[in-house]
Amino acid sequence: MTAKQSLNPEEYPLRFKKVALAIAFSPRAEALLFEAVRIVKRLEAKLVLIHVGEMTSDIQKQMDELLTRSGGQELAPEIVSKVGKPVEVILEVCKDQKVELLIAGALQKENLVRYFRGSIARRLVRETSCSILLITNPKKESEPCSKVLVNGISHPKTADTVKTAIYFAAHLDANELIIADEVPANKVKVRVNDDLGLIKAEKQRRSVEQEERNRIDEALCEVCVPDEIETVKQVLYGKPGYSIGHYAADKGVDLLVMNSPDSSLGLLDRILTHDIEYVLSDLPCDLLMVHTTREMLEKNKA
Amino acid sequence: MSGNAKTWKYIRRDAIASILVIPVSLMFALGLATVAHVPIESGIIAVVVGGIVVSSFGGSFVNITGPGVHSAAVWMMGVIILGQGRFVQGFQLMLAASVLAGVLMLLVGLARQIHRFDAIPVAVSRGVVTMLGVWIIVRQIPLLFGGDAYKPYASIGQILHTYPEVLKGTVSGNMDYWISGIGLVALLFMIFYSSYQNRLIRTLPAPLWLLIGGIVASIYLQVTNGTQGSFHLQHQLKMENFGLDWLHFPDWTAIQSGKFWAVSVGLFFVAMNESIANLRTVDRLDILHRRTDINREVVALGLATIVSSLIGGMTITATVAQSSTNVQLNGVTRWSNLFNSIGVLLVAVLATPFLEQMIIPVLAAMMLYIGYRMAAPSHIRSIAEIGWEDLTALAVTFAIAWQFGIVYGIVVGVILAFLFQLITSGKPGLILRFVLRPNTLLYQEDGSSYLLSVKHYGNFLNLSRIRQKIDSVPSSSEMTVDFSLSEFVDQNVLRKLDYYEEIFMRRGGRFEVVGIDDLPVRVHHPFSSWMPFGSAPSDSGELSNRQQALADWAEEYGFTYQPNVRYTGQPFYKFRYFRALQIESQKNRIEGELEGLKFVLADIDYHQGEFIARGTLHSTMMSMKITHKVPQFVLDRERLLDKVAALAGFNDVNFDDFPEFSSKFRLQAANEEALREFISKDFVDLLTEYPDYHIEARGNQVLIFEKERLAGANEIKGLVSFAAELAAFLKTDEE
Repeated sequence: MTAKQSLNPEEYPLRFKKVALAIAFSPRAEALLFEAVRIVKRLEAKLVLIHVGEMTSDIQKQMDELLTRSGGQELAPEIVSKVGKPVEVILEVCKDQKVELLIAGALQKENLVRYFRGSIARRLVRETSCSILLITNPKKESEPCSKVLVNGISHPKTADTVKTAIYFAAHLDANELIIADEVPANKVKVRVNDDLGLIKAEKQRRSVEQEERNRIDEALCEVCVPDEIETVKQVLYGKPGYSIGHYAADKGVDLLVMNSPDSSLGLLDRILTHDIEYVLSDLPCDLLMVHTTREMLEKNKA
Repeated sequence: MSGNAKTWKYIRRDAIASILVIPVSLMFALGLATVAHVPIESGIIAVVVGGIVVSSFGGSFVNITGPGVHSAAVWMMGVIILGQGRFVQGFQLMLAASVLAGVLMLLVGLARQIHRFDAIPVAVSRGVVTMLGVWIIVRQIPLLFGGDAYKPYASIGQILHTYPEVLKGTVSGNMDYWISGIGLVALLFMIFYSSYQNRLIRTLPAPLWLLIGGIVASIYLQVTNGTQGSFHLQHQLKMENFGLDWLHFPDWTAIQSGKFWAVSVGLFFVAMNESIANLRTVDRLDILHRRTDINREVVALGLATIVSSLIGGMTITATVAQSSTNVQLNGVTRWSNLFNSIGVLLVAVLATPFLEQMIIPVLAAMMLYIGYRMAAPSHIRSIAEIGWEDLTALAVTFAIAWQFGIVYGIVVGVILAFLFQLITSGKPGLILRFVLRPNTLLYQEDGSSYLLSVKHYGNFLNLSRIRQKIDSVPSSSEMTVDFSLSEFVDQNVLRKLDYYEEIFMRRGGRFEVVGIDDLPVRVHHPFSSWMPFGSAPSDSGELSNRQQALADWAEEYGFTYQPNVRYTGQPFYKFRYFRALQIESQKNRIEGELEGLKFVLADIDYHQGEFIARGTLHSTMMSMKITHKVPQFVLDRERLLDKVAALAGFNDVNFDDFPEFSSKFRLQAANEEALREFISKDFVDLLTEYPDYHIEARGNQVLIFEKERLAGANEIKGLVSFAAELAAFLKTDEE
């Protein structure tokens, strides 16, 4: 039995049954399609391809060829084409088609000069109403995704994000899931400049750590984590949003899962708004931003 | 022990320590007041106010406060520049400037922003200190030859103009040879003091010898030469009678001039830099391994400076010479600072006639030596060894600070250092992009050891972040600093990591730096990027005879031998012997196994005290790792370890069964009973057979050495064969 089979799908709030990808014709975009096809197959989902611009027969032909090469024909993807500005078209199609996951390419490091593709990714992250997967380094050949890092920050959305991370990790056959909890350094309030302060800070730190662990355990006990996935819990002290990216780079993880920024939800405080910028400007690995809907939150509250 | 009894014990210890700290402090107060061209009382007020205020509010434990050396040099220039040739007015204006500097210190401390000062690169602060040292030297040379200490000047150029006169006086015989002779002797004494290993001379700190010497010489001159003697002694200290005459008040008339503000801010920078550096230096010497709350200490120093300068005292800083003397004499709490201030006041009031006998050239000699130590070529060389860019930053800082003022020097120096880094690192984009963003991550691995990961780069601008993170971890824990995500690390960071490595080792922790081995470092120097002068100490150089003998011998026995210098104290810091000593480096390291027990043998360069109280030592020592714990003990015949003075809580152990052994050796142990159980007849026989070795056992490590000096190749062989027998014994004992 694989990890995927041991999951009870009912327990998971997001199952990504409809996945979208904006398609273009460049070596990079081609690799991105290969990745997307693989992921869609693993998730057993439907694929929607978005083309920005007029659909001519020429492009149709090219696209068919590309799909055949990437093995996407068997998925029978739905192709939507629309004229307009790329970001707006993509967002609109996602909304219309009730897409659950949008896959996009992203640059690992943004140049000082504003970079076209990078800036699209950033705007998508800000404005999308579905979850988004940013792939930094798309490859045509399949590469294992074994280590998944999820942000376990204290936030109403986190429980769903962690669950989704487990769901995603199980489908990608990952074998390690790290739940990193970012604790702002100022949560431990003691001034650690002398010995006495240090001892106090240590104590406080331990109790904070215990609290955080309990909270994550609570979220975890609602779902059954497959035996194949080893979970590790880690508390990080530092700037929220920054530490997680740094930790991902340090640990060499393959996928980072985070809460989506709060701004598009509009009902939660905007703690994370700026912090996501740290990760986006210096992407350590592929990034999955889990978009928690209002209904999901309300369900959780109830 | 109850808390009260403990307090009393500390008070007693501190009182004993301060007996010798008082004269050192007093000499500095006298000397720095002459350097600064201010009344002697001004230096004494600084010591007294500092001791009282800082010992009540401060955050340090063993620090002794008083007028700072660097800030005294700023005072000297301030009095000259602001006074425009009138010292009295200059002094009063400087009091006002010092009050302002105190206010700034107070504010920085209250805002807890001390870490911002880490952004001043080592080369830049060295440039300023070098310049201050040169100022002191320039001013003190005429005094050494009998010049008038209170003759006013309007600029440093005027002082230099008097040099031909001094020279002419020397040649034409129109000079007081008695007085300058005494001064020169004092200077030679200061120079040779640090290299003397004579125990008699080293029992007292150098300034105390000068104090005694200066007064004795002056009285001798008066007795033998009678009235003629008073001609020699026209340049003596003048002190007012204790009372209101001691007090002077700041003059605020210059508050609107830019020059006045430049001097105040310069004084603030220098005093801060001096205090922070001294506090950190003294922190690592503290035998109780405590950590200073530097922010709090700076608040107290600022407050003390304000009070002191409002009533006519100099700027108060943390000191290094006095404090390290205090630590060496076993001072452990703030009481020593208070005792010191009271003692200085008492001596100054009660023994005024004696102090007035002090000959100025003797003071000048001491200050000249201090100035030399500040501007020593060795410091400049050590910066130059790191790289041309650092040397240039130092030189430019020096020049700008000399010509325009300290503040401008620091600002230009920092900008220049940053520009150089942009160019030489080859990664200007990287530096600029991440200069204001966080780049450090600290987390606990597996619940025990800490990992600090530094991303992108580590340089003087983000040093304070690295530092804050390291400071938030207890130094008795295990810590790894990982630079594998960084693309370059500069020497300012490496230096500080070196400091932390030492602190952690001393406090029973572990501190490792990983990921810099594969970064491009161009020469073999622990902090370097490129070296403009001379060649790097390479491993391929010619071996000396001793080294060759050691290499051959090591090869024969299957030990590894590394002749090159290694800048580490590992694994020797663990021992009590090194508790108050500072290891600089080790070389000719031999590592191997004896009877299955691992050992490290090396020539260790280490020193005692700091700054002018510093005495450098080199010894060959061996550390052996044993597989099980033995009771902690110290065995030594010549009582060399007595001076370690850190053997508190250790008892002498005598054995009635082995009277000969007990009379010959001095054995001290922390736990007497455990040791009695451990010591067997065979062990005693072994030690009696080889009576020359000093042994210290701590945990599962044993320190063995013969004498406090480097051992010859044959002595090393002897040491190793003794260690082999000891190892065999320790192993059988285990079974």
